[in-house]
Amino acid sequence: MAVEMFTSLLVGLFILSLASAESCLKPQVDSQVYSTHDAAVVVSTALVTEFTLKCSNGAKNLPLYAEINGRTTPVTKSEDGTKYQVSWVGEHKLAPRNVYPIRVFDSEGYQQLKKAQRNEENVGNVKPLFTIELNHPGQYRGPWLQSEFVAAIGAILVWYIAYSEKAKIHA
Amino acid sequence: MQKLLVIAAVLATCLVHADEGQGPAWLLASKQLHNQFVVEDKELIVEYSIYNVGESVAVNILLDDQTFPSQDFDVVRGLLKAKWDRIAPGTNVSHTVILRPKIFGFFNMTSAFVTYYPTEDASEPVFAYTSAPGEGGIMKYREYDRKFSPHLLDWGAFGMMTVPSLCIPFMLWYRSKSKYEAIMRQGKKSN
Repeated sequence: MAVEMFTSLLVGLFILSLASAESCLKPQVDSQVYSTHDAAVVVSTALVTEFTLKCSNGAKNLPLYAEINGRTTPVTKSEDGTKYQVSWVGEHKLAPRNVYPIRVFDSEGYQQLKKAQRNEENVGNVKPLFTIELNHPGQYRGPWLQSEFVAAIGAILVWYIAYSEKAKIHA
Repeated sequence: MQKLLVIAAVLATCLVHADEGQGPAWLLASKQLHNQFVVEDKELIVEYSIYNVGESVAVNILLDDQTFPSQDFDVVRGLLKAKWDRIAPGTNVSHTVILRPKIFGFFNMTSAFVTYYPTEDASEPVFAYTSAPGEGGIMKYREYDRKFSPHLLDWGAFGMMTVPSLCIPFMLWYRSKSKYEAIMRQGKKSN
């Protein structure tokens, strides 16, 4: 009798835990991305995406996690829970010109990801809920040649031509 | 049958004890700029990092930065009011906002607010502040441009101005040279 009660309690708890860990079915993502590109002003590269999520089962305010440029982080939400944000900031050399996939996981996927990380398996095999692509064009560090340098080279060239012509006349 | 019940009871008490032995969550928050120069109409990266140095999970964490009024700053991307459900003890979260200053001059960057519940069943939230980047200047765009731009237009104008003083003597010399060479050629032929 007591065993039956205990097992039914366990089953009940299990069902409850499943219900609370609601998952998003057929996620529809509307995302906007931005990456900083003016290395003359900023000392780090920031990769930022904001997105809204619609689930066919109406799931809202989900606990989401994201993997961005090798870093796993909980997804930030807006105060009303309608918008989500994932961001990464680090040294310029750690974020070269590239297309960065931002993989977003629900709590179930996150558990699998952590398990894969623990077992040192390939985390790329863990299937995310969805992926957002961020095309980072790289940093603009100003022109390749300083304009002063180009002007100096031009002046030296003019002087050299004039001087060599003069030398020819004198010879 | 009885054994199972005993194990369940022991487990339950263990969990309660574990909860009792834990202190509350304690969050440390920083606000940091990632800029060499803060320039009007150029990117400004603000990073917030929140560390939980306490012993419990912090719940319902809300970060609210009201120090960037919309009349002075455009938000390029990012949320100035951000929320996390939980921050586990010993972990941290970071959050980045990219702004564009619309003003220039002296600006005091003060702290953002953080509110959180220090335990799962806390009824009162804890208020905290992030660190403050402090006072600084926002450089005027024209001033920045004057210092750091390649000045292509200026150099172009300089080049144009040097053209007459280079070309007029060159033309004079070239004309006399070709005249002289023509005479030389004629002289050679007549010989």
